[in-house]
Amino acid sequence: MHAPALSDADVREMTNGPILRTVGLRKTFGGVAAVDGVDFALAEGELRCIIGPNGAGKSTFFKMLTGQLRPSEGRILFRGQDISRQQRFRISQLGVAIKTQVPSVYDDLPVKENVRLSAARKQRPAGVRETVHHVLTRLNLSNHADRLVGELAHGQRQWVELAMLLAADPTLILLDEPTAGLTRNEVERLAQLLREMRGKQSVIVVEHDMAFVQMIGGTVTVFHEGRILVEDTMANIRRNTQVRNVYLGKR
Amino acid sequence: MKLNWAVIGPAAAAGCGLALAGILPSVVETFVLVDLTAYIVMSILALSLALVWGYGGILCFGQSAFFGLGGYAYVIGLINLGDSTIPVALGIVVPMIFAALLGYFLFYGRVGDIYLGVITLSVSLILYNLINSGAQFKIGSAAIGGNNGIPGVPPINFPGVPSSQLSYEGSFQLSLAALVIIYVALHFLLASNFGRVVVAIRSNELRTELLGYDARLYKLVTFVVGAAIAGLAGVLFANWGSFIGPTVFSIFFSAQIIIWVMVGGLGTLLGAVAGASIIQAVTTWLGSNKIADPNIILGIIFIVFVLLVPKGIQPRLADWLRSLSAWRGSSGKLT
Amino acid sequence: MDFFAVVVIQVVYAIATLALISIGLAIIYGMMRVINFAHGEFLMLGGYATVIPTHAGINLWFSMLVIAPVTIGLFGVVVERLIVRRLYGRVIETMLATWGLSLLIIGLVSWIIGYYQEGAAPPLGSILIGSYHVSTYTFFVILATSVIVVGVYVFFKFTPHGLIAQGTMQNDRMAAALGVNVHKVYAVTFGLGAALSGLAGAILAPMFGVMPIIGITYITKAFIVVVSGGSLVIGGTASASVLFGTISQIVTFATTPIVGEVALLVAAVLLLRLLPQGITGRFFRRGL
Repeated sequence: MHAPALSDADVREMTNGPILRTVGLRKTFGGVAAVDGVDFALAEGELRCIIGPNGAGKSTFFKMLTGQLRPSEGRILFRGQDISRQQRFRISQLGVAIKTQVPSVYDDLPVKENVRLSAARKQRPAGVRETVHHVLTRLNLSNHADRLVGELAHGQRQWVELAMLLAADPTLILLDEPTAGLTRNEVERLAQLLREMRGKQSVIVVEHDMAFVQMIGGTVTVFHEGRILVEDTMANIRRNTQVRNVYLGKR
Repeated sequence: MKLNWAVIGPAAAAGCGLALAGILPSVVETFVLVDLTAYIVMSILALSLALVWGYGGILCFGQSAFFGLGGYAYVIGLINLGDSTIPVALGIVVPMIFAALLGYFLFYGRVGDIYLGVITLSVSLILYNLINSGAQFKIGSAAIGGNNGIPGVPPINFPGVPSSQLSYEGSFQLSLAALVIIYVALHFLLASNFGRVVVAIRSNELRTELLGYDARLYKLVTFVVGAAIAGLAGVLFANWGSFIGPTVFSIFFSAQIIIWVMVGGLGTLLGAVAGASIIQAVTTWLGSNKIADPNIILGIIFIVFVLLVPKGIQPRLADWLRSLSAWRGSSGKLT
Repeated sequence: MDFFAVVVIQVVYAIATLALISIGLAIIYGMMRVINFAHGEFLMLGGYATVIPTHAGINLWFSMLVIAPVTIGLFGVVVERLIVRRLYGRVIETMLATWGLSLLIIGLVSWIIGYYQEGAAPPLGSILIGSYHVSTYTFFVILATSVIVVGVYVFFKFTPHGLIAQGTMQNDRMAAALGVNVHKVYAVTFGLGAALSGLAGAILAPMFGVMPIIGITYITKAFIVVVSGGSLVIGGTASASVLFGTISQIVTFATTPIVGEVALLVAAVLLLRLLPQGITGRFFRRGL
């Protein structure tokens, strides 16, 4: 007897599996559940956007993924490994990198040093020099290499943080509101950068800028009150009355 | 040609130091050398806190604890063993072990700055009380001596030859050499990958961990290295005064070390040396002239520097020098 | 049986003493997130403010219960306005500046009054429990501490001033928007903490004596109680005092007072490893 034919999607699922998966993830503060049972899955090389109104639990979700917060319940599986209770530096070492909502950079160090610190953790000095140079060039930061990050404009500080992420060559990249404070041009550059990453690195972007989400494409996950409301393409979500109501505050 | 102050400055300082070590003994009176030795020893202690607090951002209010432990371990070892070689090592290792234990609880427990400051200060004060109350208590053949301390400590001797003891000139040269070596070593340490991560942790601990560095471990190592240097200073101190007493653990001494580093400038090494020397000079002058209680002046300096000059003296100079060259170092904020 | 009673009394006394010396600091820390390194000197000055008037002829109880807290409270308000106010939000700078203040005060007192000061003997005599003499003053200390702790609780929980203070501490911008004079609240709260510290020093002066550096013997324990207690003023102070008072007193019975102090520090370090935010830090965000 023959086994049923497998589709490409089936094969991919079986051989690769999701690079990130959460099972029943929950985080409560006092009596309030900021994240209330999230089953999330991200395929390897996928570029996903998470949207949702303020307070929907997106940043809390990210913080649990990176070990900044410990889940109250549930599990987080990265490449099949349970990272739910790991220390944050350990999770970073496994290949998870995050650009935080409020840029977390070294304000009193030069741009070059910021990026070098990121690259130096894994590489030897010769490789580090090359990586730093390459990343600074790719993100148009070479002119600012010696300037203290604290002296840069907000948008440029975001680029520095992105440079730090790239220098670490991570497997999973989390971006929490990366377009905040960026100019039109910079937003387009960022979209281009993300498109280049697709397939090579897995990326999750939390965003409020719908035009940007449209620009980069891919599946969109809508968070609401700590849970996933719907997961679909941007086009379908735009038409979804439930999503619209959630954003406008109706129930 | 761009002057690389980052290399020239320290090299010049080290060179001057070694030159002085060689030349001074034949040029000045012995009692001047003895006075200078005290300043040198305190400078080494100041460097230890400059590393831990100035660069590492670790709010250690009880650096005197490691200084005192080093001194006492050295003296007790010396009285028991007769030859100073192992006791010197003890004076460095005992504070390191103590720091490793204490540091483990503090850094792996991720306690906040307030708790860090309070606990480290309390450790020093409790050691003070402990020593003061243990007059008759003996370790081997050495009585702790309580309030009176342990007098009559013989000088450091050439390893293996107990009869060949250091003269005042020799102690001066040894202490100054130690200061120069430690200064240069710290400079290399801070320029290394390790040192730069330590500074990064002070700048933004969260980001450093998000890059994959275990901040707890880096802080622990920094803390232990600082304790080793403070311990060595304690050894040289006991050697200088032929004496060790519980005042090394007092809150007044703990405060002075903080003031030295603060006045000299957080995030600098030479500044710590300068700060220690200036404040030492001031307190000595006040003490001998009996104008007012030295704590009044120290307190005022302390308050004034926190309110008005949080960066200390050297960073002002460094800021100016920085405008002449490439990046020279972190800007040394207090927080 | 008598021995047991005496032991219990000593343990309760130890707990009460810890709570007494810590409550002023706990108010300032719990409400304002300020660690006042000059806390020991408030205690010390409270002792002087009791002993000096008493030797000048004023009634001991009046000096202790009125003169000391009032003068030290006013002094606290001055300190807040001149130093602490300029450093709000800057935790480390506040610690350093108040440490400088501590040195300054010790220096001034040493210089002006001198190193030796005649103290006051504990009043009230002693009572006999079985074959043991117990100073009656011990009971007074325990009673006074209880009254003070309850009083602080009542003040913050039930009086308008107290509620306004709590509100200001939790959200000063909101309080200001509602018309509260935030600066005044801070000054008064700091002054209250100082006054209670002065009162504590006054009450304990007959037991511990009075000298410029007496504050130093208090601060280690007070700091440890407050940081181990966590963010709640009453809950933290009470729980930490009970825990550490019991541990250190029992160890003291078995060995010496110094080892008792060591035990206190060790217990605190271990506790902080388990509960880095103190006993009440994790569980109770609001409340006292």
